[in-house]
Amino acid sequence: MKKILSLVVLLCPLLSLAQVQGIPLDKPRLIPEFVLSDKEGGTFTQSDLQDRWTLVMFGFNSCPDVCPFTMRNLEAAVAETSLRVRPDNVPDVVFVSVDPARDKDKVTDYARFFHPDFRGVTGEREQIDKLVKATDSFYRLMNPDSKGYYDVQHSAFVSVIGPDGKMRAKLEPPFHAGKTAEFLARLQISYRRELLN
Amino acid sequence: MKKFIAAAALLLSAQWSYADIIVDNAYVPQVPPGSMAYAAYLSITNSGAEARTVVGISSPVFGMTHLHHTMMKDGVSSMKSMDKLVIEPGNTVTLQPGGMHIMLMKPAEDVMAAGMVPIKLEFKDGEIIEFNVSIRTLN
Ligand SMILES: [Cu+2]
Repeated sequence: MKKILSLVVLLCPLLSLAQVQGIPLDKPRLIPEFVLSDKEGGTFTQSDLQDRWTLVMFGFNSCPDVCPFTMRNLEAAVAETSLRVRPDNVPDVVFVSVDPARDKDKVTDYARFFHPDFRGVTGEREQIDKLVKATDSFYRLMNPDSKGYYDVQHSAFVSVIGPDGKMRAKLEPPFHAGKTAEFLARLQISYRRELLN
Repeated sequence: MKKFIAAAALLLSAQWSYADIIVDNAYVPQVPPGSMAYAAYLSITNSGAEARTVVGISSPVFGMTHLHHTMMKDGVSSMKSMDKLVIEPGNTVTLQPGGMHIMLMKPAEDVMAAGMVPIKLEFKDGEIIEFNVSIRTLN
């Protein structure tokens, strides 16, 4: 019994070291046509996914904890990634608000707050839902409280979409910068190998 | 040298000590545009011999304050309200991103300009402590 206990104690730090930052998909998911837009009228469509790597996060502007935490960490992770991959393989980051009623006018500034190159978009419910479904994501607008405020439940992972327009992996919290960058760099290597075969 | 000391002091986050309670690592991240909700993070240590329970949290510069726990279920995040926070003797409870936070809503207009948020914690035994948490900008 004592032996088992000490084994468990030994294993715990090892497990946390090996913490998963991303999960490659067994079967890449092709992203169908969709149209979202930013506050200046610029569109974000499936053709923006071609020939570059894209990270897509779903959320809402008034999210106090998970969204800002994720966006801050993505900023750091992308900066790390840019040290490891060619400039044209540094991923674009797109924040998609699933709460257009409240966020339509601010979502673009919201994303830029974290990095001037980050894009913030939203759109019609049907268009948002297409991308949500295509990325195996989820959200739900909760019932408003007496003051009209409502919370939004949403997927916490970030979708990684490859230059062929297919979702290839999920990044997971806590989005450790170095480990996430390492994961992305490896994912890109295996993608290029796949292309050669 | 003076400059260096000032910079070092800025980097160290404030700590507040009371009879058996120590509050430290407290900060409020600057909110992005379009957000109605601020979050405050901190840790509370109970150095006393009895469990202590926070039963009320408020801030004079926010109309609404909640203690929240971010829950992750099947990869989906949501927030759960908590009506109290128990700190066992000798323990530290840490509110941090992805875990617990104090959610602050309906800010007074000049909250950002003031650079800090007064927070008041009320304990079950009647003790009330108040301190000013600084707003942390992104860079
Ligand atoms: Cu909250």
